[in-house]
Amino acid sequence: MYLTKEEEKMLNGEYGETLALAMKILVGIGEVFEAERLIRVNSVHISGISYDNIRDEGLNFIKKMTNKIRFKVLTTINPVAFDLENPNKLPVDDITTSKQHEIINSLLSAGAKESFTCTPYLIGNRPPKDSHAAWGESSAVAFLNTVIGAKSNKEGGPSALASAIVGKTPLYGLHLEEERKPCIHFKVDLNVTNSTEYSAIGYCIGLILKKGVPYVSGLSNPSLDEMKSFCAGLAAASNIAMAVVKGVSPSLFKDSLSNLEKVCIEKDNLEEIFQRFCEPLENVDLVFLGCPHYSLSELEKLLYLTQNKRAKVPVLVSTSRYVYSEARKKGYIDLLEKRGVSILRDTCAVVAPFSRMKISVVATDSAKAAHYLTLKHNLKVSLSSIEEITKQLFV
Amino acid sequence: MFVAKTLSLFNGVSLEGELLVVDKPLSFFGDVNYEGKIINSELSCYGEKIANKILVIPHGRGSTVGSYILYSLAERKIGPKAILSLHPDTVVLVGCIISNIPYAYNVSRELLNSSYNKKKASVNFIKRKACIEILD
Repeated sequence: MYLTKEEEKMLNGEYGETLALAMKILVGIGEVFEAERLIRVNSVHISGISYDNIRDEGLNFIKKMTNKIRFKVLTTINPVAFDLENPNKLPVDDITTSKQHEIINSLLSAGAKESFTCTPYLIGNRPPKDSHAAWGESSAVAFLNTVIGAKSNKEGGPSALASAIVGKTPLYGLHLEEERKPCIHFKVDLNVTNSTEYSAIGYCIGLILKKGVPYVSGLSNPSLDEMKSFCAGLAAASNIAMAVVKGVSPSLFKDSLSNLEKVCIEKDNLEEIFQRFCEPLENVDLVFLGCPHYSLSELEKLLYLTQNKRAKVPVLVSTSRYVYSEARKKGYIDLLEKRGVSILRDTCAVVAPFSRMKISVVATDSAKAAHYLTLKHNLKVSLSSIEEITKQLFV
Repeated sequence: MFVAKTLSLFNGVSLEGELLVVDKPLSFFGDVNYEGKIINSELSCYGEKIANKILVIPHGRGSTVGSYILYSLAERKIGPKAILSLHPDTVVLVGCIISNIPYAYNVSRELLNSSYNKKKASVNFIKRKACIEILD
């Protein structure tokens, strides 16, 4: 692998141990995946920072890597274990609270933005088309590659951290035009009407393909919220970090689309996904929305659907602190709270301490949330659209 | 002798130890406990400790937190002596880099055969090559 003189110096420890270790990570990955060289990134998003997930092992590593370091590029970070402004909204113990703050303080001291969201692209970390980035968080990486048309592999916590420190990433995988070409064509042959169905279609394609880049046609003019759901479902079910979606993706790779094997996604395929998470809504003891973090327009929709109604069971919605503050200015938060909807900032169900909440059946509008609530938290799940949920669980 | 690939980082490393052959993809987040013992009963070597062993695996799987767990085991001196993997994967690879555990990939599938389990071996890392010799 080719390294510049400056990169060699970094690797050999001339700029200190931390930079040397960050370089070792990037060069090691580069060698294994046969990258020709490192390239500059102008955006980093770090996942794997919830203390509930990474425990003392992750905390110690992050502390070591951020000691006396300034990140070289715009760096946002993923959700954490609880709402930082209002920690009592979820049952969190003191150790988690203090160790989570240690992780956050380390990252912020190195220059990370106080973002705490899985939707960095909604809060100002939106690199231009064709630029290179090093992002973690599977749903965000899929959105970045598919919708924005910027380029990133799916990074783990340590490699994204290394890229923030060095400002570079190895040139391989989805950074190369050749690797972004679709390998199979999924034709969606049904009328998709809401975000939940978009998430289920993504999930379905993920389960079938598992890895590679799918070309997806037949989605008629999806909104950004719907694409956010689609990408999250796709990435939750697979190792896929990018799709080429007709009518959405900035680069269509027209020359490589003929001759692709074609698979139709029909009503049965979609129903099979809903069958996996089909607990009846009347059994639900908690509603979880906001996976990925709700946008302002999704909060507006929830507000509209719950007019003159009140929730029958606890309803949690997670969003970023940025969207929260926009929504608060418009008066949405107060209205929703009065209707029994609790809005969480900075956290999400996938990383929140659900086990301490004594619930067994959850309704959600996201296939990604359904996947993790089932697998990670052992809960029974009803995957239902926001229209159905508000109709049946609000009076 | 088996020849596999490795990173320049481990150039010059030479070690000897006992092989521990795990037949299925290994997640350090879930399959291995805090003491470094294999606790997934579906894996060969169930109940064995990985400390100081030359671990042979098909590849890593699962959460990227696995890299941090390897780091923690190594910090507490109960990590493996080296990891030899059939296919490379970023979780184990990055875990080995940050923990300074010599790592080789593209090892021969034959090494995953249970007959190599507990055999003594030496591994010499020369530039981008790892030469693995079975000693008994």
